[in-house]
Amino acid sequence: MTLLAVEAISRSFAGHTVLRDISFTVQAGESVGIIGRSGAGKSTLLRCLNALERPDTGRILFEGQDLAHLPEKQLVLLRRKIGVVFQHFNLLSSRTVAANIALPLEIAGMPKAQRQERVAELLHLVGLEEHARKYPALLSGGQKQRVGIARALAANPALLLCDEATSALDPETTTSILDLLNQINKTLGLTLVFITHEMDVVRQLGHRVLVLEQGTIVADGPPADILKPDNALSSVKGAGYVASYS
Amino acid sequence: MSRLILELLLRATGETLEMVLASGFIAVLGGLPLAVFLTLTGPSGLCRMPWLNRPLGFLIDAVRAVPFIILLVLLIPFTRIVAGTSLGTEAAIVPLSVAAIPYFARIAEVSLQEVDSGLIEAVRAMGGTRWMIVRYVLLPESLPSLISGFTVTLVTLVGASAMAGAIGAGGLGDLAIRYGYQRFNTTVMLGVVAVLIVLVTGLQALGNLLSRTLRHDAPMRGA
Repeated sequence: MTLLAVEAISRSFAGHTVLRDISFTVQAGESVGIIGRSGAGKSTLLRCLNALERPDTGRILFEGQDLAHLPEKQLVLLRRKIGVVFQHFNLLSSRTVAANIALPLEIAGMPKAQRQERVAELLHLVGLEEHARKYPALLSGGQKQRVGIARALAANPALLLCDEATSALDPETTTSILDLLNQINKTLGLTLVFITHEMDVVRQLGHRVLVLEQGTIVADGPPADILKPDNALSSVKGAGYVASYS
Repeated sequence: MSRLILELLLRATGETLEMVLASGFIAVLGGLPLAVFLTLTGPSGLCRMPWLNRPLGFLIDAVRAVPFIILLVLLIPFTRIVAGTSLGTEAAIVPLSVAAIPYFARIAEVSLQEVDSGLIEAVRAMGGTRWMIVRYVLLPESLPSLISGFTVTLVTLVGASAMAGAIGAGGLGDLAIRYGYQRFNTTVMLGVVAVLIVLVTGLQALGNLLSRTLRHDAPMRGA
């Protein structure tokens, strides 16, 4: 089943084209990595996918609704079905770990008792039960990202977007966060779209990888095929990137 | 120090506190919504409205540009309408509030603008409305800083309230002028200065304590 269909979207800022005629689809349960150099348009693409940014042209169909053309009021509601994990965690310093995780549920208007139950589940899932009452400032980077993941999962999203989720973490912590994301993708069957500039992340997490270069997708396929330095793609524009980063 | 002087000092301190706290309260009531509005409609805000933001900013700065002693006189007709009189402690609360609202609005605006834009983005991505962003992000995240700014406002009001004494508002400033300066009573003068120092340092210490207690973004806070 197709969960997300991006159809020929383009976006430019002040005459500078950031995304050019991008099309791809994501199946439910899939884990798709978008890789590219900084400035390739990854962040803009991700912001389009969670409807914080509208493409100038094209359509983005999520659960049958077009994110590119939906009025703002409906977009607000739709965003609650898309979880986002951020590079710099973006946890509220004024809220405890538990209260941070509860925030999307408060926004969705869930009653308090139910909220507490759900937060307890999520704390267990990410292994942070004993830190529930702490403030984020007291946690390590990896723990903060676990809170970020728990928060993104709180409202039971249909799609999880990860924006360089491990780029601010050390290699060991990165592995544990990738394991957690893998587990979430497999056991919960949650669809994952993540952007990264690290080949390793794509290898460990992606069923499929899209290579973004200068605002266009230059390669699309399983990581094992795309990330081989001497594959059929050597004739493609993206090969330079793949070769230089493998 | 005679009992009479002590009684005078005590009453004047009470009047000063009344003026400062009442106008401080009104400053938050009026200034904080203004600050939120300025932040939201400002150049990097969530609902940019330059045609509203700029005139409002201009109005706020225009009031701030008028020296308080002149504002006091300019506002006498307005004070009469609001308070029924232009004399006394209660009447002085009107011009003090008019000065304090734009003052606190600008200070609070800075606090609100310093909130990490990533947090706003996160709550937007969760499907939060603008109102939720104000309620869950802007206000709680800037609260320690808002309290520091409010403390600065209160201390400034202590100074301004002394000037209000010049038009018969009572309070410590009035006491110092009438007894200390005009009657050459050095004891009263020194007494007023001592009370003012205690008042200001006390307010500042209280503000710092509250702000620090509510601040959770520094990992090693006194631990």
